[in-house]
Amino acid sequence: MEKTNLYKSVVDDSIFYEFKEQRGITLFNHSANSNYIEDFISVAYVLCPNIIEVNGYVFIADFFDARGDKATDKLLKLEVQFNSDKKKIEQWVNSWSFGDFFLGKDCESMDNEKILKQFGDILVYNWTRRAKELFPNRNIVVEYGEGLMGELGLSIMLYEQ
Amino acid sequence: MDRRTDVSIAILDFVFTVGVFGALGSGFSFSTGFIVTGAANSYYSTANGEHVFVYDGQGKLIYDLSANRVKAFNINVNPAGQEFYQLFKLDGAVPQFIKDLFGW
Repeated sequence: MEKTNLYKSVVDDSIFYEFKEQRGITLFNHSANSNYIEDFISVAYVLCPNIIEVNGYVFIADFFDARGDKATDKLLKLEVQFNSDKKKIEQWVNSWSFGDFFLGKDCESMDNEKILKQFGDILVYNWTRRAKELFPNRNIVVEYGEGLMGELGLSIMLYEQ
Repeated sequence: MDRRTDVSIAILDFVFTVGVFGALGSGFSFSTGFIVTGAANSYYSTANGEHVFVYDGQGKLIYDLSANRVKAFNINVNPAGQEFYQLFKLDGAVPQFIKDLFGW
């Protein structure tokens, strides 16, 4: 008798049964029935986004839009605002409400705690792995919680501990 | 200052758009999401009072304010005329008078 192993996804596949509208019979099938290839690629980017390092500070590049000299200027203003508290600056820049990942796409699932936490777990897993890949010797923390740094509702946050 | 990046300009927009006194407000109930259209020149507080959403003269969402930051909503229009929102956090701290106004 051959031995088989099933290595589970980081996504709990039973979350599918929490979906208000099921497009197919599994998560894999739902994805195939829902997304254009452009949607799929853009979601992959969100899970592994550009990350910018400015003078040792680590930011999700889409949350820190300045580049070159302007990036240094922007960082100086942040240092004044937060009294050069590096952790607080990274927390402020790198915090984002879950709801802001879905602009104009409010639905019943946005009030489903299981689905929201699953979304948070997916972001934490992917951003943590990417940060560890880029900065193996630094302790970059990715976490989510309620109203982090003035965000609305459950929010994701990345910073160096 | 850049209208689209600086928090002080956002606050001026807020004051001139809805007026600090006598502005509309009806205790909107938000959970995690928000509503991108509202009454023209209005603002609404979340049920817990921690966030205020500001709508412009066309009833489009332009700002999400909290004690810690201001987020602005940029609207990009594609060649087909469809509008798409883009969010970004404005530079600078939220002024004290705004915090006082909302009890933050």
